[in-house]
Amino acid sequence: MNRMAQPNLWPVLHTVDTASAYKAGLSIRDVSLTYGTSRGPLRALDNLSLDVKPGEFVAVLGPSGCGKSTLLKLVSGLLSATEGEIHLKGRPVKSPRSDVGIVFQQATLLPWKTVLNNVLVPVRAMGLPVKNYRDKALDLLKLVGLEAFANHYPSELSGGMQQRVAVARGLIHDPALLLMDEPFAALDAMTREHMMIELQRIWASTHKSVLFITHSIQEAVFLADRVLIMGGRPGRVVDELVVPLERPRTVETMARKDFNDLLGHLRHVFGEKSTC
Amino acid sequence: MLRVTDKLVSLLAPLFTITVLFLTWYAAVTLFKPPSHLIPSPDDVLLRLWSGIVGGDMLPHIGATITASLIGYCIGVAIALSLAILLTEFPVLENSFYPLVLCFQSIPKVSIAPLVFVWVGFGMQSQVALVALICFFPLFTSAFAGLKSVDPNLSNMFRVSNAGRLHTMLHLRIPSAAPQLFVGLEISASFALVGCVVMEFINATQGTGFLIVNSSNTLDTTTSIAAMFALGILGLISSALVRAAGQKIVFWHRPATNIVNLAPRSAL
Repeated sequence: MNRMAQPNLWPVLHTVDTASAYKAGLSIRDVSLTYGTSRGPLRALDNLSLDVKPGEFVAVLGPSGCGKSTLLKLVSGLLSATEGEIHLKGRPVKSPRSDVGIVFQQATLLPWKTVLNNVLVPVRAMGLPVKNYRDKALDLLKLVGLEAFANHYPSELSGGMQQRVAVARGLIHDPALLLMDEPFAALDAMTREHMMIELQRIWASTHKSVLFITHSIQEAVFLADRVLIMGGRPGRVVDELVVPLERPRTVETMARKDFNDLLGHLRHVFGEKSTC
Repeated sequence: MLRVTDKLVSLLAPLFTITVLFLTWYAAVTLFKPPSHLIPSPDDVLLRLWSGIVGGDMLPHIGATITASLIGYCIGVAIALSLAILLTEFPVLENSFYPLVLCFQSIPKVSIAPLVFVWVGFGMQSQVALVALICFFPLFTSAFAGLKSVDPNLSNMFRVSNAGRLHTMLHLRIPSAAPQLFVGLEISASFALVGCVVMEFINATQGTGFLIVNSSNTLDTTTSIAAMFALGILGLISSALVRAAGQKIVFWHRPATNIVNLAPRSAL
């Protein structure tokens, strides 16, 4: 833990102890999931354990097909684990919960609703009073830099802008945990770099816990406090890397030697351990 | 500038084809002088249509066809939409009814027209019944397909927000299916007239179909063809109305091609 302590804005995470992850963050203990398929049972996840402390940014890194999305579905309550337990803020996750926000790989905006109303979709779906959330939605649009587009339709926005709307939508109901499933995978490389910097800024100003699923080593190292490396068939955590880079990380960070050493290290780990 | 000329060309080109067609018809009739009960001259047909509408002797027939088609269309649409929604919501109903619907779909619906006459009898209610039956199938199949094929990411998003079934139906499924719904609505609209005319052939004492049968029986071919033209114009107007409504309501959807041509057809 040789992270440099940053003043005020940037949370100093190594001061949070592990026990608080169970109480206030996300705790996954020995979770396994077996799918029944036509060729017999398929073990998608095997004895997977991980913690996300309050305010921590954790990236789950792994190639396609090693159970990353399955993990996300378990945490969001869309699937139930065959074995093991998932707790968020000390309460078990068994079905979809209102204290989780999700950002998918595709922006999944409703094309018939304006940007503002898209941000309000979870509010309406949960049956919460919309008028109490309108100002919050506008604040979030400001946070993601789209306040001028509140009354536009998604088709008038670029891919990166649509994904920022999806981030605002994921945060509208003030969830304790934001789940992100390869949110930048569908964007072009330049937009992706810009979005990484944007997401870091948004995360720093909201202090949410983030579980960020990705197959990009660069995204994981740039964004995360900790990177969990997944191996596949069945999916499990094979290694962990605490990213010691100070925040805020910038475009210059990406050019630095220590950043690229971390990328090299992870590539090496994948060469040895991952079997996806 | 170029776009204005493009638009002008796309408007004028079909007009040009129609004019050439009429002129050829006119020339052929003038040249070969067939008896008018076989092939009347186009100007006679257009004059007959004009006098039928302005003079008013065709209007009650056209009016009867419009009324019966419209009522039958609305009933067919209402039943098709409700059933499609019920079947997507309840898998038990889907399993028990969908194969049945598919079976009936392959029967040409006009073949039931004489039976409808037997069951429902003289008068407009027969037309309404057959129109409703014919309109049901194209809309049901496209509505059902549309309601079933919601983007799984979107429905996961709604599930994660704990959205209720009614909320998901109203705010996700129906809007998602709207482009397909309008494809079905347009096909049904064009089928409605067919159903109505077929029934009027059989049972009616009024209506455009009756007018065609009646004038054919008296070898008044001019009136028959004029009535056909009236039906053609009605068909054009009705599908244009549905399409315009669709483009207005489903403003977010821009079909790449003429989507009606790609739509699943069901037997008349």
